Order: sequence, then structure tokens, then C-alpha cells
Amino acid sequence: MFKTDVLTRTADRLKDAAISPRIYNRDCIKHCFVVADKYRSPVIIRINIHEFDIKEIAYISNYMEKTYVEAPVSLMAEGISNYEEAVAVVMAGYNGIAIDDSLLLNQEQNLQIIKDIARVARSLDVSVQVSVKQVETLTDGKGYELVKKGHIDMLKLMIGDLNDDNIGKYQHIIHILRKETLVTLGTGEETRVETRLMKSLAEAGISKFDIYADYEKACVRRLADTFKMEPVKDKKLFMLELQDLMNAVFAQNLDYQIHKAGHFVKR
Amino acid sequence: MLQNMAVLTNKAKKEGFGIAAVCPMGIDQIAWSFEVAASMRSPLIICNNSSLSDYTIEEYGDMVSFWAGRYPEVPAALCLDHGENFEHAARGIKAGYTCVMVDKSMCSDDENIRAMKEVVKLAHASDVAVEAGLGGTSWRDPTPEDILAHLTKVDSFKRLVTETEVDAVAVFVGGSHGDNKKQGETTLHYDLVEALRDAAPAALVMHGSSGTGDDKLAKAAKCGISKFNVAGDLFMSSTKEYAAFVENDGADLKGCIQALEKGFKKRVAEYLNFLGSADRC
Repeated sequence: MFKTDVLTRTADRLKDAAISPRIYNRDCIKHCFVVADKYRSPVIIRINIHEFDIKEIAYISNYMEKTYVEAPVSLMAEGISNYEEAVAVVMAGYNGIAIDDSLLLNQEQNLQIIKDIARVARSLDVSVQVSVKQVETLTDGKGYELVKKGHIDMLKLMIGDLNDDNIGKYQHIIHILRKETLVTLGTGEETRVETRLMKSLAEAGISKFDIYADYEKACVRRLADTFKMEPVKDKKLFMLELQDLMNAVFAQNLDYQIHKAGHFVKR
Repeated sequence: MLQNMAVLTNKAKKEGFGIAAVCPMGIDQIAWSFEVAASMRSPLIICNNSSLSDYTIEEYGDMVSFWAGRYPEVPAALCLDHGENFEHAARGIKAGYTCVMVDKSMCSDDENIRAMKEVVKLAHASDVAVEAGLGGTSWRDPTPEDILAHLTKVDSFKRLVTETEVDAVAVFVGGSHGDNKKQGETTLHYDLVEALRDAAPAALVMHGSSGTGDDKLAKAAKCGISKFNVAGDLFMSSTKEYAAFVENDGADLKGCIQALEKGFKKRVAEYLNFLGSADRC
């Protein structure tokens, strides 16, 4: 698999963005590889280390990599809140780690931990990402400071609602950050962002879009609709259909997001 | 670590209990099955029914091997379910399956024996068990008349096992594949089970256990069925939990998946209990 920021840097260079789905079960992993392979478009699989066994996910991902050898896929662990957790995921073979917001709340106090995490990650070719909630504060030079002091590779901007009224502001912030730092930029799990806005963010310099809520909603809605059509007593093997449906919605959504995020397709 | 399935079924036959052979659709369900078996100290057989899963024979085999390694305390076997031919069996053996089923139950006895001899030769050379099918075992939704007409014949069973040395045979003793069974209405022929059990050393396997009724399956286990293939009952249980979740609060995907997991695990645990395999390891 690829070092996570190698994928985001490539996306950056092409003014496109990689999609980064947070998976909700182990079976999603294969679909990530299938879609990445189909479009030759980068997919950064994200897991929260408190939801899954990190070794199991690493095993499945490494296994799928051998089948889909040309799929540009990276495996990233989120929710890292201490040095020991970082070491565990780095040693398990993850390609990127995302430092938990809790560690960033008191940045001054936790700076040494962030540096230690970055040191072990860099020595094993693993990318480090931190997220920033108050995006506006980055433009006064703090963005550069945070990146420099913490030795990080990627900044995730928690943008929230994105619309025609505020897109200009974010494009401006992204513009300044790109001049100040060499790190790649991503966004949080913003939902229902229109394709044209997403593309304009990608062109401005966002190179990783985290996704989850979109396909969660789509999946839950379609499950409920299917279920309502035929009540449980008549749907003996509903789970079979349900599993297929979940997989299909997930794959369709990845497909859709890839097309939204850029022009990578078949490149 | 995965074991030759015959090791598990021989113990079950000797001690008079049954082993649930669950048919997970994917990696999540494989993991759930192992978690339940470990917590109940029960042997476990995983069946790969390719019609249920998105994974290749090889992918599925490697995933199960990985989970068997995660739970070394669970005596486990991996069976390729309803393989169609020698080539399927060969792929399964190479992929690490510890039992391969080649289902020639719809063929004549002579054809079945000829096919199984070839498979047994390869499988036994690789320390892998072989399951054959005999009677109407692959039939879906048969009528009561069909069932009676296609019950496994003791003479055919004895000849198949003696001439081929298969380790297990999926027999047709009243239970059947299908979604149209009404809960508890299946008639199992226990006298036939006992006659088959005593006729030859192969383990007896029952396909289509779902919907038969727990008491009937428990009795069949005591009479001599060692392996019970089950899928529908697990899915149904998951679906029920999902339904309950949707009624209360169905807007959360993680909650949906947890409900499915709960239902699946609950039913697997019930199977391990009533088949008598819990606390056997």
C-alpha cells in the first residue's frame, strides 16, 4: 500500500483529491480496493482504532493489496491519542495516522507527544495528520507553526457547512496555507457538498476528502425502504439482501465520490 | 489453527453431539462466529457457500485461516460447500480448506462414486477431508412426496463410503434446503439416521438445518448427525434484531450493524448449545 501523503501529494499535483472513506465493517475493505483499482483513483481507507481491531484490518488490507496490486490504496488509523497507540498502528503496517483532536486541545502541553509520534511515524514511512477545527486561526501564521513544530504531513481542515457564501473564504485560507506550508490539506466528513464546490476546493488545494455521513445516510435510507416494502416475517433471507445492499450502496457511493473529487478516473 | 474436518466430526460422532457448520457471508460474520465459539468453548465449522459471499474461494480461505489463528483455542475446520467438480476441490485444497465437498448427489451412484474417488485421492494426500452428497440433499424446497422418494438409501450410503473412503456424507433424512419450510413442520427420520450412522464410518451431515426446529436438530445430533449446515436461521435472527432496532431508532448505520451482529451471534450461540458442542474444548 501507499504512504498516505504520497497519494494526497499526487492528488495535489493533479489538482484533484483522494477520497477517504471511513469504513463501517470489515467487508468494506474489499470494495475500497475494487473501486480504487477500477478507476485507478486513490482511496485512503480510514478506521477508528476504537471501533476495530487494528491487526485484523491491517491483515485484510494487506491481503487485498496482493490481489489488487495496482490499486492506489492507503490505510489510515484515526483516533490516536497517545504514543503507545501510534506505535501499535505504525508497527501493524498502517500508512497514515491521524492524531486525535483531544491531543490537540492543549497543543503546548502535548507538543512533545505529537513530536514523538511524528518521529516514529516518519522513521517507518508513515504519514501524520492533525485536524484543525478553527480553520480561520490558521491564516495568522499558526498553521505554519503547528506544522513545523509538530513535524506533520497533512492538515485536515474541519470546514463544516460549505456553500456559495463561504467557499470564497475557504479558498482564501487554503491559498494562504499552501503558500506557507508544504503539507497537503484535507477536509472533514462534510456532507452533501455539491460537486462543483468539491471540485473548486480540490482545485484550490484540498487533496483529501473524508467521507462517511453521505453513504451512511444513503445506506440507512435504502435499508429502511427495502425493509418496509416487505416486513420481516416474509423476508426470511433479508440479511442476504441487506448485506448486498450495504455493499452496493458503499461501492456506489465511493464511485460517486471519486467522480466528485476529481478527474483521476482511469488516469 | 484449522484442523482436518474429520478430526472434529469423528469426535462429535463418538461423543454424540453435533457441530454447527455456519455459512458466513463475509469477514464480519466469520469473525462473529469465531468470537461466539471461543466464548462457548465449542468446536466450529465454517462453510463457504460461494452463492452467499463476494469473496473468491482463495480470499475466503485465507480470511478464515487468519481468524482461526486469532482463536487458536477453537478447534475449527473450513469446508468448501457444494463444490461442483474436481477443479473446485483442488482450488479449495490449495487455498487451505480442511474439507472439500463435491456434490454429485443428483448423479447416479456410479457417477458419484467415480467422482468422489478422484477427489478423495487428492484430498487425503493433502490431509484434507472430503464430504460427498447422497439422496436429495441439494434439493431446494422439495414437496413431502419428493422428500420421501429421495431419502438417502442405506445401501447406497454404505457402498459410497466403502468404495471411496469419503469422510462425511451429506444425507437426506427429511431436512432440506429452502425458504418455504414452515417452522417445526419438517419430519426427520431418526431411524434412518441411526441406520446410516451404524452402516459405515463416515460422519453424517445435514444440510438445510434452518427452520427444522431446535429440538429435532438436537435429537438428530444425539442419533448420529455430526455436522449441521446452517445459514438461513442465522440471517433470520439478524433480521429480527434489525427489525427491532429500526422500530426504535433506525437512523444509525453502526446501530444497524450492531443489531445484525447481535442477532447472528445469538443464534449461533443457541445452535452451539442445543447441538451439544459447547464446553467441548
